[in-house]
Amino acid sequence: MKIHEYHRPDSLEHAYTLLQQDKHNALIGGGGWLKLSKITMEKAIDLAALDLDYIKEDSNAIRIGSMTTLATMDNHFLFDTFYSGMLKDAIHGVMGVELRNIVTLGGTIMGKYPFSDILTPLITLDCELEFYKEGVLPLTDFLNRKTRVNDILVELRIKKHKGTGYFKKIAKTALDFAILNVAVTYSEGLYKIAVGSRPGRAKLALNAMQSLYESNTPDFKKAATKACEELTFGTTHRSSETYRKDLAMEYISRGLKAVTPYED
Amino acid sequence: MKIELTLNNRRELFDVAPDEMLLDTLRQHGLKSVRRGCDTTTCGVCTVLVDGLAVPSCSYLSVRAEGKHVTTVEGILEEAEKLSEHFGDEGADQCGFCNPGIALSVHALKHHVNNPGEAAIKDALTGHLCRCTGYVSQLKAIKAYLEADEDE
Ligand SMILES: Cc1cc2nc3c(=O)[nH]c(=O)nc-3n(C[C@H](O)[C@H](O)[C@H](O)COP(=O)(O)OP(=O)(O)OC[C@H]3O[C@@H](n4cnc5c(N)ncnc54)[C@H](O)[C@@H]3O)c2cc1C
Ligand code: FES
Ligand code: FES
Repeated sequence: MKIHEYHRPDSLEHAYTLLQQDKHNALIGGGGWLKLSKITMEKAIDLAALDLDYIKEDSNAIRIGSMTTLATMDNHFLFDTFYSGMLKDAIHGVMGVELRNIVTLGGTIMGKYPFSDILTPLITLDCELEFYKEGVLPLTDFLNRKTRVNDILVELRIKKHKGTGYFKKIAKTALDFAILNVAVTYSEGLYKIAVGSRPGRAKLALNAMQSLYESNTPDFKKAATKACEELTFGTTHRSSETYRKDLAMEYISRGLKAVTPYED
Repeated sequence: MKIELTLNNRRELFDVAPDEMLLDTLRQHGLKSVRRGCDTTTCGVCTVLVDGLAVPSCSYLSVRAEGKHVTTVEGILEEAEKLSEHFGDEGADQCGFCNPGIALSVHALKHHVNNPGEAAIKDALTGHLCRCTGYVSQLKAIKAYLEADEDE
């Protein structure tokens, strides 16, 4: 990472103006990922002075500022119980506390990283993003968009439905990226299944979710099979396609059993 | 760029490049306890405290430390020496390269977690890779240190 000029604007408008001036200008969240990249920034626009480091709650949603670090989220009481602590499980598995003290939610979302342990559970929740100029976008729409959003992410809002959740990261060692991420939730009659690091980016298994919704006696094994059929898996140096599929099959079933409000 | 920060309780002025990392600024200042152990932000050897939080200084822009309190192991020497005695007792260090970073993370642990138990200590060790010894001996040493510290 190279930076020619460093700016720490004190208003979103100023930050946005700087961003639009030149395609070689870029925003810095925690800077953790950028540091590892080969990027050269004409102007680095540090978002640290914009008061975007907060976790608030209103009657509908949990609102998390884009500059909130993963450590702040990990330590926040709200995530101890929200969807059975699923988000906390995911966040806590990202490296050590030192790294979590710098990397941000904003950088996590904007990076759309296929390996992200955080995006997998997030897409099972009812989430929207607020951008400075673009306004509000559902998280999944943003992730599926092919074009880059050249705007400042202000906050993530997670709707406060009541539900249960399950998250599993499968990795070769504690500090490695995931071979596979599985998140499963249940809320108000609806099961959601997301699989990330396939190695592609986290996706919902919509057909499997639909079949569970329509069935009075949901068959979790069948649903896991369906999910594995509709999602694509691949081979990388971390794992083969077959192994990923086998893992997905097993952990989706376990996830569904963990979140269901019904007895066996 | 001129920045002012408090380093180990002393106000200091630095002239830093816009993309300079705190690790380099501190080493150039003579603080050789701050070390680089990797180029992938995975080893934790470069850990320092910024406003009391343990961060990897290899990935922390120096300009961001403006106006903040930065602590290296030189700023907690007495504490680090006590911890290192326990490390010695448990055979938890050999070359010592990783120790300053661990000492700072243990300091942060003490200040952020009430009565840290085994799980919390393991958590604090997760971000630190030691090339020489095993984590069990480190865990035992930190446990013994925290117990002794509480008794004082
Ligand atoms: C060594 C290392 C190991 C990691 N391991 C894991 C892991 O095991 N699991 C996992 O899930 N994640 C892992 N991550 C990723 C981490 O959790 C973050 O998702 C990632 O570092 C991005 O956050 P950041 O704050 O560092 O972003 P930055 O590096 O600051 O930014 C990343 C991108 O987002 C843009 N951006 C940042 N903030 C905003 C904003 N508010 N609005 C618009 N654009 C913005 C930047 O311009 C840049 O393009 C790891 C990261 C590192 C550095
Ligand atoms: S030098 Fe390895 S994490 Fe900073
Ligand atoms: S004692 Fe040598 S790296 Fe830890």
